[in-house]
Amino acid sequence: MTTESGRNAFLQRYFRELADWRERDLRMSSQEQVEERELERFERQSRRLLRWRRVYEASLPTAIMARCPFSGELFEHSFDRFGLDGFWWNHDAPLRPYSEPLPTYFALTGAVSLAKPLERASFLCKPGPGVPYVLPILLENPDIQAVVRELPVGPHRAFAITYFARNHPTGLAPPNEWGTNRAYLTQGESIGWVSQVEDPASFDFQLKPWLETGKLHWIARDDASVNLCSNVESCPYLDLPGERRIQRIENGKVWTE
Amino acid sequence: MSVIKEQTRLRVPRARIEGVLDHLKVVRNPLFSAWLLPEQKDDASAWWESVESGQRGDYEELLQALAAPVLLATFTMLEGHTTALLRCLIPSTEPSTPVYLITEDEEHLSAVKLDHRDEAVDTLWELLRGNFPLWEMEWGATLPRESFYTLLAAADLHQRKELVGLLEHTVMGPEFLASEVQQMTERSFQYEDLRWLLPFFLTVNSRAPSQEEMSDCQGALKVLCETELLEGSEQGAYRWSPQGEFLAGQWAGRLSTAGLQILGVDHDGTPVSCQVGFLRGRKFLWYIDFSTDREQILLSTPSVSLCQELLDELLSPVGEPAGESKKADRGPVVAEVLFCPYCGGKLAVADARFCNSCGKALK
Repeated sequence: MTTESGRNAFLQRYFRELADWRERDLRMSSQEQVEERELERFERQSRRLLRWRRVYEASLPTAIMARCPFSGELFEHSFDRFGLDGFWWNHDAPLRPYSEPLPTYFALTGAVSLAKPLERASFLCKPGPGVPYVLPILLENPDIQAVVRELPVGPHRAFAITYFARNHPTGLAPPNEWGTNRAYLTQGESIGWVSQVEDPASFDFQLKPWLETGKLHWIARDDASVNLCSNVESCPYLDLPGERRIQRIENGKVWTE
Repeated sequence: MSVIKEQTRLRVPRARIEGVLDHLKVVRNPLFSAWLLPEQKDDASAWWESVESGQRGDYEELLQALAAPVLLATFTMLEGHTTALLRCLIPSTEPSTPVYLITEDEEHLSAVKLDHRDEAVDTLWELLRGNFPLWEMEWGATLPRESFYTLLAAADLHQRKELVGLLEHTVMGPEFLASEVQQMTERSFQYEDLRWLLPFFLTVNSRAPSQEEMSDCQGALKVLCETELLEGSEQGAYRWSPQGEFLAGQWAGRLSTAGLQILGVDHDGTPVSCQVGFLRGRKFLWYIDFSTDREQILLSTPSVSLCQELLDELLSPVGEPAGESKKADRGPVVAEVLFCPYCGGKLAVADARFCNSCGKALK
């Protein structure tokens, strides 16, 4: 599953099995009495799907999303760069192996400029709007700064927007993690989560003022040394054309309402 | 060893398969070449006409599966003195596809249709599990290929010494020499007696090393000492470590040995194969993965549920062949020998290195 074609075949096999599982589930739910053999087959299929999800999760590559503007450390996160049909992009049940975040990490959001062909996955994918944006509610906090970096995802252009906090602000909840319906909070040994309803009205697509005030930084897409830049003139992420509403994708169809 | 439930068996004369496929205009895919068929007779259409009209649909379905499978698993098992060869044929990547379990004799190919792949997994699992309760322990090692096969030779030597000790009413010393292991190895290449571990796994695994590749017995034994299965003495002799002795003792009292070769299609449509082995002791089941890396072999005792998952995974087709060929392409990737080309005798196992009837080398 380390190659793109291997991953695609793996997912195709998963979705074939999932479609069969759903059909069986529907069939069984309409029956008054389910044969023991049918039930056993269903359970085995459920275990098989679960196992394949674990295999996917274990073989997910990582990507360098940003460099912390406070500590200079690289922020690496699991990322399915091969396409939006991987479970990493499953809005309701994302598969992302947990790794200890940087002490200064606060939140990860993002945007994806969609290109064709669009993947066909039988789950809801909400990759964000089509152009990079920032959340003023976060950047207005004196301890928070953000970094935007473009990452390729299959045929699409994705933009990771990572927020770092010099001191973790109290009373400020992080937004949902990119493409998911929750954000995880770690405190010592315990892990919790928060979930928010995303409001596109709170997105600010005008990046220039934030760059000028030094609250926003950027990293060039193919910069292997991951240099943190702050100059406005050469920033490639300003005024990009594209969808500014939240995009939703399921079974190869995209909608924004 | 019969665990296949009594169901309608479809019998196809092996010498007429190509003819019937031509007659029915069935397209073959590259995996079809795994069926090494005897010289074909030209009265295939007459045989087809003799099939009862009510059964023709079933036969046609089977023939299509034979011609263009997406996965073909060959399970070879030795239990006591009996060798069983069972093939599992998966015709489609659809999850609910029926599958076929196939046995062959010189004349016929005999197939039983199962409703689902799960039943084929269960059949193989029942064969492997046997009638004894299966214990579980966490144990695993990754060994270089030559060291693994040398370990089998050393285990064979251990068993032979025990037998000799019983026959001669003597207590055999715990130490053995590299030359004794080397001798066991050489014998395994000379005589294909599948009742012994090394000849069995040399035979069922087409990726097994050649005799030349196994010439550095000392080096392989040294690796086994490093993995703490053996202990070396200053006099150049070796003895089993406690865990090695446990392993050799369990293997000597084994109930069965099995090999499973999977011929399938990779995600890009290329035919690929993988091979695993099983060693059923009186308490534990050892799993041998010959496919992880050609130079490294994984040996472990997976839990019962993991074993079943492994079988399930092995019998899960990944992709479909990229191109279809009208006639079989007998490429080296998927070719297997089922009958001796010298004497015509049926081989005990698929892809054998030697004919067990006339003794001629086949590779």
